[in-house]
Amino acid sequence: MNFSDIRVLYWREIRSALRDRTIVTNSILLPMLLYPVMIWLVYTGITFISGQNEELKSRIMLKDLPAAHLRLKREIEIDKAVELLNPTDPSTAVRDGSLDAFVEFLPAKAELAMPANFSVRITYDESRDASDRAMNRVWDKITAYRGSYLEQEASRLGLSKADFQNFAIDERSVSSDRAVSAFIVVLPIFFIIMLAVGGMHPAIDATAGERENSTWETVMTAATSRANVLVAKYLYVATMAFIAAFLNLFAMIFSMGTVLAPLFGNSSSLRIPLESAPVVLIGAVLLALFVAAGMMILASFARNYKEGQSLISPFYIALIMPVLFLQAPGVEFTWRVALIPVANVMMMIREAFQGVYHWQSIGITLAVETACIVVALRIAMMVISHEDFVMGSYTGSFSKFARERLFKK
Amino acid sequence: MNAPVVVRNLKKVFYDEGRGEVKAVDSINFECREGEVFGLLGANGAGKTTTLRMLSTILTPTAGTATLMGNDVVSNPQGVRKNLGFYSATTALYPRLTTRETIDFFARINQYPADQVEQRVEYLIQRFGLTKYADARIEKLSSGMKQKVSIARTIAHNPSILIFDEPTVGLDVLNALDVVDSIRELRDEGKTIIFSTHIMSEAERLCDRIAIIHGGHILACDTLAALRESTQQHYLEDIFVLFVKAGQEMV
Amino acid sequence: MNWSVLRLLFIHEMKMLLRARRTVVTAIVLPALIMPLMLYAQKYSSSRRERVLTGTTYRYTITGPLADRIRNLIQQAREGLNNDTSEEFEQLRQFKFVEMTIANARQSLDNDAIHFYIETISGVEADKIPPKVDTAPRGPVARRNLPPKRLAGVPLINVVYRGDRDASSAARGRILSLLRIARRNDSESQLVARGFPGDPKQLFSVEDTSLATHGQVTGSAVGRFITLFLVMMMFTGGAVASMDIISGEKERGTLETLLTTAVGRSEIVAAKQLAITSVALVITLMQGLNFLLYIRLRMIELPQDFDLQLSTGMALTLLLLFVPLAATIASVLLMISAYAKSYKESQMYFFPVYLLSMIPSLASLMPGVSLRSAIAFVPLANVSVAAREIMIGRPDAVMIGVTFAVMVLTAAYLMRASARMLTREDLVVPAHFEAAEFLGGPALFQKRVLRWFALMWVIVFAVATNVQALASFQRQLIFNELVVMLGSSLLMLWIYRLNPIEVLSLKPVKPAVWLAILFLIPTGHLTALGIFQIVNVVIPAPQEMLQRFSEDVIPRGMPTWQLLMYIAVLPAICEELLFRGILLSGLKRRLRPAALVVVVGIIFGLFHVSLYRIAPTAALGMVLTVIAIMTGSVFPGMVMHAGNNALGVLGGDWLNPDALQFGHYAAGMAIFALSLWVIYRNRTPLQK
Repeated sequence: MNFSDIRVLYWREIRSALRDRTIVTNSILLPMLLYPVMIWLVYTGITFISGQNEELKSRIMLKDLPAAHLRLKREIEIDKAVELLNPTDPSTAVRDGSLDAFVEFLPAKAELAMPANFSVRITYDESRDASDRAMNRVWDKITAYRGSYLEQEASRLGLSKADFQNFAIDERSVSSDRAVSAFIVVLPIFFIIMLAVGGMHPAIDATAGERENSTWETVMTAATSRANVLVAKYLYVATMAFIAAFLNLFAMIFSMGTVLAPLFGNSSSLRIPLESAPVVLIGAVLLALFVAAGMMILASFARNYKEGQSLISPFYIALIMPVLFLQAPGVEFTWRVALIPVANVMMMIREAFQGVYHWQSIGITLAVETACIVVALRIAMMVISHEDFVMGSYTGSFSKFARERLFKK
Repeated sequence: MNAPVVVRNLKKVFYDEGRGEVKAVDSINFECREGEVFGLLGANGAGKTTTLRMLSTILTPTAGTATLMGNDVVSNPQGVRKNLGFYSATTALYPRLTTRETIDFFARINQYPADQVEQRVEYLIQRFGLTKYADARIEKLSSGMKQKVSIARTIAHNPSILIFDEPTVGLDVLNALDVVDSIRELRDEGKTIIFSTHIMSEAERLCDRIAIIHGGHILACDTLAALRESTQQHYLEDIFVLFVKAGQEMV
Repeated sequence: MNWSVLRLLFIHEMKMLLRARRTVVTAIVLPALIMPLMLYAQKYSSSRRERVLTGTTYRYTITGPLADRIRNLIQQAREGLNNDTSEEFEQLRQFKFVEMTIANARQSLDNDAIHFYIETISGVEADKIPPKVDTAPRGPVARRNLPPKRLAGVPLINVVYRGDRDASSAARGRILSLLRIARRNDSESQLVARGFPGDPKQLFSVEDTSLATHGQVTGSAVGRFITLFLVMMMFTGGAVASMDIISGEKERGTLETLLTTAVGRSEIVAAKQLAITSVALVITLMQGLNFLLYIRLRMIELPQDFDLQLSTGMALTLLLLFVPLAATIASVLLMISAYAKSYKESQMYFFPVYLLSMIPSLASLMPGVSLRSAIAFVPLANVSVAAREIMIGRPDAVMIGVTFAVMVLTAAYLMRASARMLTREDLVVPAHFEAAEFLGGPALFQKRVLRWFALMWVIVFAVATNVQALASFQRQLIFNELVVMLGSSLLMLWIYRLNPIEVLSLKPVKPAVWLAILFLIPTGHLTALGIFQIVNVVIPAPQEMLQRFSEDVIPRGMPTWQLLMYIAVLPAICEELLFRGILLSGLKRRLRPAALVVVVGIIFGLFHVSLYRIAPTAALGMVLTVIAIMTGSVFPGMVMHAGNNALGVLGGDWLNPDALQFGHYAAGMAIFALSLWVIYRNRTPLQK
């Protein structure tokens, strides 16, 4: 292998790619532009709708509220979001939508010595959002009222507020928040998908695309070996896939930061341990190399871009399947899992994020992935050296190719 | 001194699902000398394209040898390509490179000494009148311009042997004449040129010796004058038809 | 429209589609294989998860001075639960946990030796801990009942866990519930011990009954997702046909052949549209049937009480809405194909368009959306909301009619746009020689200018939401105005070798113009406020947002002159140079003056990201653009812009919308119009 030849070939590929609108758009511009635009749209939509909703009040009817608890009534009345109505047939009103919640105060169920007790029945319509909201509002108000009533009683009986509160209960996570950690689990899957998406176009372009453009023979008659040409193309595809995946990843993390934070409200921070960086990086590179190899082999069978795409799609899916299965929690990174390509790298990365390192499995993973890559490259070499492929008499049928190689001669 | 191109008993057999064994090229022999334009004339399917592809190492011969500048196509294909400039309808240019980048790339990849590449590129740009378009992308050029760039890139590494497979296809009269002139210039510089075409007038004007190939065999290989003498025909077209018909009868 | 020709073309299109074997396979076979696998993977994951979580015995420890007390309380609560047979606490009863004796709780938690630990802190110690920063979300995602604040001296019980571990998180939820129950029991027993009559648990009990039938509840749930599902299916199904239908033909050269026949453009487009729609509908139907099959095979578990009741009336109404939806989607796909020069390119446009189209379909997922509002005018979103309301059984006839009309108009408009695209010569025959690319410089600038603005918008938005360091008022302004806007202007001038005076319109104007500007400043501001009020009626802004907005924009405690510098002068200069200088020059050759004003105005508005500011800002932008066009200079615009912003800062009370009446607005607008007329009379004709 002549490294300066490979370098010349590689840079030609990269240069052409960076001037290709499709590649630049898909792999670079899209991640940078699309996610912010989408987030902005979602955000605008939410503010728009909440603006609409503010005007809507909960229409509630209170029946037979006992005189001893007028304070409760006042608290409900004061709420600007509540409108008290008095229809003649409240149940029908709830059903047809003109009333959101019908609140009946009834005598207490249990035989109690508590003089001022009552029980409440709220009738509402679960299928209507407004009704559901009204029901929750009433429930919350009664719960709050109960709390303050008990507090009063407690003071009356000589129990201070602090004593009555007893103790406060709170929680503390010493690692990334659950939502964020779920996000971390999703990241490797996302990365693989982006690798496949980002690498697909360059892979097809570098093989089927060249045949479409008739530039294949031009490079085949150059004074460099087939191996050099192939390696240069391969590195090019891997590079583009890697760049696309990383850009998408960062764009997503940035955008998701804005979405996750307000929705979850906790001080969630993405605590990815820095020590995991080398392992993660190696994993990412291996994945890129593997995905690139697979795609190149498949795309080599195509005569034009469209065919290339339809050949690669199954690979795409085959890539993602094992990954999905391994999402089940409690799956350990055993040596068995380490033998499955792609899935092993994913587990490796995920565990690195969590600060766990199973060195034996990691070792097996590296070996397996490297072996797969070498095998894939060998196969690719075989394919492009085959004359049918070069001459264009190859009709794009994989089965025919396989038959010829295996059964003739 | 051995001739730059020596072909001995070159044979190529394809396996086709429908037709079985197909002898595309059946034991052909010829030689090309320095500073000559060697014309290869033949109908579609005659074996012309296959022969040229074997010479350029894209296809491997089933039997026989082809030696270019002392390098055998089977044992040293890279050496062959180093001394060869191959041009065909199926060798297009990279659309997104500029003119300069294209010539530069091909010079380098064909092992032209790296320190002299820049000079060579400038020289070629001047020679073919590409100065104004030196930094324009190939996809933006007209077909005449693209043609010139194609020839420039073919000789970018200053090979001794050139193969032109139907270089004037799709060009208008003026552009085609330009190409023919360029080839003549290259011949005068001492290159060995194998030239294939359908257009008889071009072959008449340009070729020093002509080989007629049909059904995988070479039916004739001589200067135009000698061919005219032996067939008693003036126009190359008539000569060609005569040989082909005779060849068919032989089969 | 010649119907027999249309039929001929349609059959021709379908024939070509169905003969591409590979297309058919990838469109139908592949999804039919993937879906079951994914569903199965999902099911496997969740059932495995269930098993793991219920089977585990959680290990924990209790630290701190109150450990014994808490231990007892937990024990009592557990016993109490075991005696209580109500279903509510079933999950909690199955929660198995065992206490361990551990030296270092935190370390054990990190090592995974324990799943969580309870840290008890005495009241005195707890008082010393600084309060947590309130990161509660502001805005639409409301939260129910926040826990009451801890009073001074009250001990604190903390459950410490690891959020990134499934088991730990699951345990945390349950132990918290248990602790709350324990606390309540304890407090209540204290009350009773002091003489509280009765059982505090029975105080003010609440029960709720829903009058909704199962059918309605199911309808509500299904209705939320049905539009999204359909949009996704139709897009991916239709894409199979549409990618190739025009762009592929362009590549192969057959489009030109078709265009030279005696068939009209509208028939060609209609036939292609029909082809896409048919394929989309067929594939959607197949996917739907697949779905039903999966339900039958138990691959998808339906919740209990799932009772889908679709009356004929409902089904018909839904169909009424989904047909224009399908037509719209087909039109969008057709437009992509018409615009792209090759199959590859149409692929490139498909993905973002697909994602962006899914967003409006999510409208029905938002709580409390009603069709009877401005949303009926937003395509896709309106169908989404309408479908849900129909499936609940509360169709709003009038608004459904509006929805239908909007969708039909959208589909028709897109179809016409596609037809027009077929006549654009540079699309049918890919251009070989684009002078702009060759010459570089100003010609290239005009082509690229919009891309620059898109990039700038993204940068401003992305940085504003993500980079904490720039969160302060001054820094954000300096970044946006100086770095992004002014910086880009200078960059573009340099890269495209533009003439600054020409492009930035740095020219003098007639004196009368300045006088007019003086009047335009207050009246323009008034007009903008008026527009804001009008918009507020249709798209009401949430109160909280308005409040927060005015707080954010004008920070307190800054000297007035500094405020004016930041809010009035800086933006005026930078934004005018960018929008009325660069953008206007870049677009003026491509658009008619009317379109130019609108486009520049809207882009200007979009840069002020929030929905409610867009309208008045865009209006201001349009006025400024008009002035720039009429006077051929950015300077009057700068002054007006600065004046307008200054008024916003200083105006304060007497420009309060509540204080103004219609009369004020009317007078303002009259003077406004007059001033513009003065400028018009003193205009400098625009050189092209």
